[in-house]
Amino acid sequence: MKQHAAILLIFVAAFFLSACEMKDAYSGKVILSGEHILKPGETLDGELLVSGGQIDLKPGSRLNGSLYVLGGKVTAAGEISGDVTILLGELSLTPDALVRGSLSVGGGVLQRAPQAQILGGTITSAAGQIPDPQRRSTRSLANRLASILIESPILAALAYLAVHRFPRQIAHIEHTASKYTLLCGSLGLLTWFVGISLLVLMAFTILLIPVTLVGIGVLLLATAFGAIPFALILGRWTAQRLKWKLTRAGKAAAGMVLLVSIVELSQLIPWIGALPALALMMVGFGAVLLTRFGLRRYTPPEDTWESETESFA
Amino acid sequence: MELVRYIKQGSWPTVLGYLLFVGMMATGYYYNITFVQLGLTDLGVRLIGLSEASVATQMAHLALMTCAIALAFGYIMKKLGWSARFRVKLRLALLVVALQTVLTLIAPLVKSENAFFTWIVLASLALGVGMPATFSMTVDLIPRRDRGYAGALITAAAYFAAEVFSNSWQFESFRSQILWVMVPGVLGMGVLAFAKFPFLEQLASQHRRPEFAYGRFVRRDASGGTRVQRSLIGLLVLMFGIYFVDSLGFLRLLETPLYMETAWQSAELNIRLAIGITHVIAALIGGVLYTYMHERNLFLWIFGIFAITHLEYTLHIRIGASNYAPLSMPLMYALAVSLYTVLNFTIWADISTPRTISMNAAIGVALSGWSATFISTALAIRWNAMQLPLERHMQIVDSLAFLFFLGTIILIFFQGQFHRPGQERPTSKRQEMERRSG
Repeated sequence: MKQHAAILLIFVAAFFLSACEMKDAYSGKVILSGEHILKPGETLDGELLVSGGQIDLKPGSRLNGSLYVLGGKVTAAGEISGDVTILLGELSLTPDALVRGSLSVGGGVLQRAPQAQILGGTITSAAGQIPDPQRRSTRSLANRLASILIESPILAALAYLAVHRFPRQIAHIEHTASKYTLLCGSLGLLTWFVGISLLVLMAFTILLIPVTLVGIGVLLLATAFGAIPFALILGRWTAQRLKWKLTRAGKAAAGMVLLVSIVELSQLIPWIGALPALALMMVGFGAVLLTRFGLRRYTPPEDTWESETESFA
Repeated sequence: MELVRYIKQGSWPTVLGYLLFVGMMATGYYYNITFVQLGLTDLGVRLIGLSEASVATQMAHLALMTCAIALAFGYIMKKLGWSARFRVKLRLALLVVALQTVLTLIAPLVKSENAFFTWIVLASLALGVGMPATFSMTVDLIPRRDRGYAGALITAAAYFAAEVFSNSWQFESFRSQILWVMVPGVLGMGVLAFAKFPFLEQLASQHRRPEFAYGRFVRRDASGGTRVQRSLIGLLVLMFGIYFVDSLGFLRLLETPLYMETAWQSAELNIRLAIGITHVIAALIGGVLYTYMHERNLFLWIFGIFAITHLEYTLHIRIGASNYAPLSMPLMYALAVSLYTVLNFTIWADISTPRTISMNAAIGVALSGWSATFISTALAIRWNAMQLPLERHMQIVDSLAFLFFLGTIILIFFQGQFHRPGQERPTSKRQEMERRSG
């Protein structure tokens, strides 16, 4: 198993290494900032990814590829031969716009003139909506309470199932997170920072967007898995105080409801409100990594001199 | 953390030892990354009027001479037994700081290429002697379990100060800043080196205590002596790789105004502060990871982050964003640099005993750090002469980082293949010598 994992790692690494020399195998344009205009009669070959700044595709212009909006502002009045996807940012499709592929809306702000033509149809995915961090931080108390009511039963059910189905794994993560909190937090923070940078980098290649999506999924899954032991600790503590007789999985579910409530409400405190939730997320995520999703117990390197009392000569 | 225990016990001499070591090493490292690495180049090019290639050649000389002097002096310290004598090391450190202060004071008088070379020779002498002398104080002042944290504090303080307080990368600015620290430093070191304070007696004997004496990778052998668990050669290759990748990449970034002015040399304090804080957080993470995890994990992280960072730069150059550079690139760079600097301040003491620390630190820092600086500088001069494009330069650095990343994975895999529980790892010739010498 270990041998297979190592061979797989080497193959993946060699694959990426080969990409260091890749030239002109794929063409695309990335807009990060500034104002850009594609004038009437002009053609842009390849995919266009916008993550910041502003681009105006004038009437009579043509994009020979797909358009991805991950941020910034796009005004499209020309022809787009591929698909259009918006996840964040603003997209305005004017009456002259012609999209030969489909339009996928996963988030962001879309303004579409009724006359704009989408030949491949429109797909709107509510599940794929990416929350806008700015909008989230300014949500009212009522919104947060509604979130608690909607999110907590779902997450509590997941916590119940996880503890019921994977008791050993959760126990390993809980043990590691509580005994090596500093290490877990450090590793979690480092992995998140580097992981996000790597995923964004992969998204810019366009070719690796599917891998990016899988990566985001794994990152979120690991973070959610890492939160379950904290829910269990909280549930256990509450059950003990209130003298509730609950199973281990029941305690995790009750704890998750409390945890979601605390995390949501703590964010009403400006500036520092999100910090405890962030710290908790990082510690849990780090513990998941250290225990490899709870499959093993983490043991730090041994200090062979610990019991040594004799002086050095 | 042992420091907390010492504070609770009221063991103040030991606590003062921590402060002395962290303060001394952080100041020394700050001097190195600001005045020596950046200030000297400015002195040579702007104030003396030398060509950039000529200054780069002189910097390569500095690296090579420092490397040779450190190796020779580390050997002398080991042979004369100075490696385990705290007072001697303190006096050597005083001499070094005094020489560096004088050199910094007289630096504006350097007006010709010959004078610049003479200055470089003297600076190499100070750095070469200072390296084994100061690094070997780790076994006197920092217990094994806290070396990661001490390395983290040194790294955090030096990089934060260098990033946040250096708003102008000019010789005069670096000189005046460092002199404010060095002059009181010389006086303080002078008092410590020659005064008879009782706490110094305690610090001088700490290296005999097991928690200070034995490095983390030192093991007791069958004959009752000590041997090194980790291969020094392996560590040297990995550390060399890190230094080489860092300096080869950064030398070119230094010459690219877009990447300097939007990051390390930004006029905006916010940007420099963000980089400084990243250095601090990364150093603290490095300290924690070093303390609790196998050092090989840190090597993997460092090479991996360098590979991603250089890939980011390569991608940015390719997409031709000419007036904007995302802050994530220097932040990632700062992350990798802080992680490996923590390793540099900890690992040499952890493969040593008080008797071998001066030689091991000299071999480690000289053969990995300074030789990598020498080779990368020489290579950068050559590539400049060839007019190698920026994108190609960064691609090569990226490939190197990735190769080292790959190499480390393979190394870990094969170590696991050949090492079975209950079996001793095969020892190298050097380890065998360590074992025999006890």
